Amino acid sequence: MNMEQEHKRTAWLDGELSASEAAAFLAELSDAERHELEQEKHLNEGIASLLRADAPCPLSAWKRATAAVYEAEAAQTRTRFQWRKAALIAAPIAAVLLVVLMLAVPSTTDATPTFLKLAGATVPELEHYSSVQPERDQVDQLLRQYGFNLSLDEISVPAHEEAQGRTLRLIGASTATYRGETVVVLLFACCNKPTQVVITARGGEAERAVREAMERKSVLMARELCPQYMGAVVGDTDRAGLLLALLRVSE
Amino acid sequence: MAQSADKLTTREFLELVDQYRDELFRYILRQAWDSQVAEDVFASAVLSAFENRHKFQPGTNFRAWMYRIITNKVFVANRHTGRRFDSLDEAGAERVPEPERKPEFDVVGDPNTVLEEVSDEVLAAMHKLSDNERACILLRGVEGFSYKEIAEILEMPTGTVMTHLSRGRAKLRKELGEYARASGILKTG
Repeated sequence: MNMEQEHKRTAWLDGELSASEAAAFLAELSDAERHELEQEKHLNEGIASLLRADAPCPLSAWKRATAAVYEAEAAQTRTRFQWRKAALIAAPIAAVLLVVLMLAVPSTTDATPTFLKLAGATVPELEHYSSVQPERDQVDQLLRQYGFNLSLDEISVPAHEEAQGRTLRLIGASTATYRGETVVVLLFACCNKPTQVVITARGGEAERAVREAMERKSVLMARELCPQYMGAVVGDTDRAGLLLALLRVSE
Repeated sequence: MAQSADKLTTREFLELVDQYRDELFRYILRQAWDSQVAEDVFASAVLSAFENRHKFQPGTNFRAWMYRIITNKVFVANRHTGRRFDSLDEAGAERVPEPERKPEFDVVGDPNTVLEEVSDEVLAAMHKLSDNERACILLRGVEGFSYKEIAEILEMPTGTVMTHLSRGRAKLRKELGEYARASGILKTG
């Protein structure tokens, strides 16, 4: 008997052939073979019947299985509880860490643009930032070069203030770019502290940045110099008003 | 069984298994070597099904899924007991020749007489089959699964299932025939 015949025979015994397949299969057999096949089917059913006889699941086996399932469930619950407990402990710790980080690293959330920050922590550092000599005419030339029709008045400090160390000195000027706009930064030493005066055109992004910085108090003072320009003072000085007053519209 | 086992509570899962517990245990008992092994396999299989219930595909046959888990467990248990079967792996199933049929020993000629006398021997003869032959015969003849379902439970082609059925049954006939002849239930010649 080849494999195909063997499979057909098995399928017939199990009733897995269609009616036409079964008829075709039986047609190829002799009467004796058909009889033998029927007997074999009968035997298979008898064996299956014996094997199908009751063998109920013992109560002990069922109890063991259910106990194992409930134990697994308890273990899963314990694991979930431990995770929840860990999360409950970790959440406040994470919140505290976040606050500490925010306090420790304020610059990471500081939205103040670079041109509104001191370019140097000391007067020499600020001098190094200058792109012109610390002369009024050079500063005026720089202002004109970048389209600012402004000029710087001569700095005049009363002698008694000078004697008290309340000095004011021009140390240079530079430029910066903010979102495509050029701003001019005048550099001063006020009482030997680095101080900057930032000049922007009005109505642009730079002016808006200045106003936002004012709200955050990250610039000392800001005001309109004229309808076209805005001035802002960056640094730690009590002479902010005087510094802004040094700038006037050119004739 | 369209319900997702993954969403079942523990109680619902156990109630579902409870519906089939007798037939599942019987299937194990017919394949394992003793009732103690059968109890071990049953508890282990139910636990495994519970732990893997998220893998059960909603809309598929929960009963067949349980049989697949149990079959794997019982095969492993039989390997661990160290008993030797006439191993007939899936690849080799197509090549093993059918046992020679000897008409004078053949119980087919008088099945009623033989079956009345040899119920214990049927169980003993079942244990002489390979794991796959025995599983195919039980899943088809006793548990009523189709060839396709058996193929899925045992993870083998349908043709191989048919081969295991054919060879397994032939071996059973031979075993029972020899016993029947030796004990005088069947006359030779």
